[in-house]
Amino acid sequence: MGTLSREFTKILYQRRTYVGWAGLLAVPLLIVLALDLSSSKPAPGEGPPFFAAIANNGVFVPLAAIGALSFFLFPLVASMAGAFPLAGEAEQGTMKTWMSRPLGRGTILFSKWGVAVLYVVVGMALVGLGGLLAGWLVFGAHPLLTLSGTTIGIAAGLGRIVLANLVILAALLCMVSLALFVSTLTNSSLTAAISAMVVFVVLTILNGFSYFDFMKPYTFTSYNMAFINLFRDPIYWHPIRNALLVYGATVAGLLLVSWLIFRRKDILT
Amino acid sequence: MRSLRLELVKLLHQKRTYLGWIGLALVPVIVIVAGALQKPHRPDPGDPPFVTHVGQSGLLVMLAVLYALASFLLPIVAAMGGASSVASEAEVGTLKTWLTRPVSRTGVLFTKWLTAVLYALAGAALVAVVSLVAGVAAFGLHPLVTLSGTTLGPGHALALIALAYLLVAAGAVCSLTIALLLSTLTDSSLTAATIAIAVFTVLTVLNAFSAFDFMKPYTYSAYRLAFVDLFRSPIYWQPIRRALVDYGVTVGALLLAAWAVFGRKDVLT
Repeated sequence: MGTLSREFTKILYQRRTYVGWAGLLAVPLLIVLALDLSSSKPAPGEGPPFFAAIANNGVFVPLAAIGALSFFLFPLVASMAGAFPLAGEAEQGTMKTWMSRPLGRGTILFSKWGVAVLYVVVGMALVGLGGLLAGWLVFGAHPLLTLSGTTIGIAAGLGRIVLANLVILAALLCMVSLALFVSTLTNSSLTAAISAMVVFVVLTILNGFSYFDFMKPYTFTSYNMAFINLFRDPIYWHPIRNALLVYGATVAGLLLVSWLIFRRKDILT
Repeated sequence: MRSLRLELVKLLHQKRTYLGWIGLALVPVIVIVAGALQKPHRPDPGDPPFVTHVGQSGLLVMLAVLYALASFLLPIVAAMGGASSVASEAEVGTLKTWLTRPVSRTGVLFTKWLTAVLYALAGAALVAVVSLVAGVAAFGLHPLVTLSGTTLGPGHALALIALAYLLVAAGAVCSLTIALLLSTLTDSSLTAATIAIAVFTVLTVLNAFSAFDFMKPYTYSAYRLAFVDLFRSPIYWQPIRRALVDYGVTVGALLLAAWAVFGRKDVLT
């Protein structure tokens, strides 16, 4: 735990940390601003999921925001978070110093992973709370209309929004682990982050073609809309369970490979 | 010229140079495999133009790939090229050495910009060649049907497609120059690249909202699909001309800002 808290202190001293968080927070605020300013309300089914519902109910803002972010910006921030802790130390030449302390390499690797996850969690919390607050102030809070046409209370709705955030967080853990894995292979944080993003985009393109449907059940990118099923009544758990299984296997596999590589890596800087 | 050659040698000795190119070249391969093997299905009105009919002509592969490239991959790869120019030298600690040689800072900056532009152009050219060769091998070289319903001979069509690739590459130069400006402001290439990609994404999202229509004529991201107008008959030049003016102003202003920052920067590493 001491290692993790020191890692967290390190990221709090980096400008990039705040740029990332501010960029994420801007998205729900811009969504609220855009909908408040525009004269025509979006038609149902237009834009990201839950988007059309915002104008009648501010509680949908955090949901629409994470839906819109999970296509691109969340993965981008997650890969930045995952790429930097390890490769950034190699770049600045502090990795060797770090290694001279009486710590296992496993501890170092997992505290780096942990701090990246913490970074993403804080970013998601900012999006959720900022979006909820702005949406509530501008559009008011009302009971939520589910996709099945039933209505659930605000408290139950907020509970499901938290669950949706957890499902998306699990998806982002895949990106964090992927970037961490590449950053054990290279000494450049930029290479690690961009490689993770290229993998993400290529997988997304593959998912777009029906010929490659056979690999869809196994790629983490094909589940990015699974959280929608939390807003059916009753909740349709099957795709969410599948998504979590794939996320879990992906994260565990990538972490295992990262650990195998990092355990025996020559640390030159 | 000598410093440009040196920059190019540096570029070619980095792993990430090839990772970016490989990621780009994967896209036409995926599109062709999917297009050749996919079961024919009714075109969906929501499909992007050109993508549905890929199997009809090798030339359509080039356009379908360009569509994916313009919206995602080329801005990412270009931002990486622009960000690694100044900031990665600062990270490795070679910027100081570089500046002790009898070169002007202006020369260094523009050489780095030019290298990044060449990198993005080479990426676009690689994609064009791979999709042309593989597309023609898979689907044959047939005349291209324009969006207005007229038919273009293969030679004429190829010339227009080459223009379209150049136009998309010019759009990517905007992302690249943002990354260059940021890389003069920070010493971390990762920060510069991430912010440049995030700016592009957020602008794209804003372009989708009618409330932000007033800024559409001025944002470079709004013109990313302007190349489609080349495939009308007669060619609808107006949006293309506007795109080029906008790209020119954006790149000019950003380069000026980068030059102003880098000209008086304290180079500590």
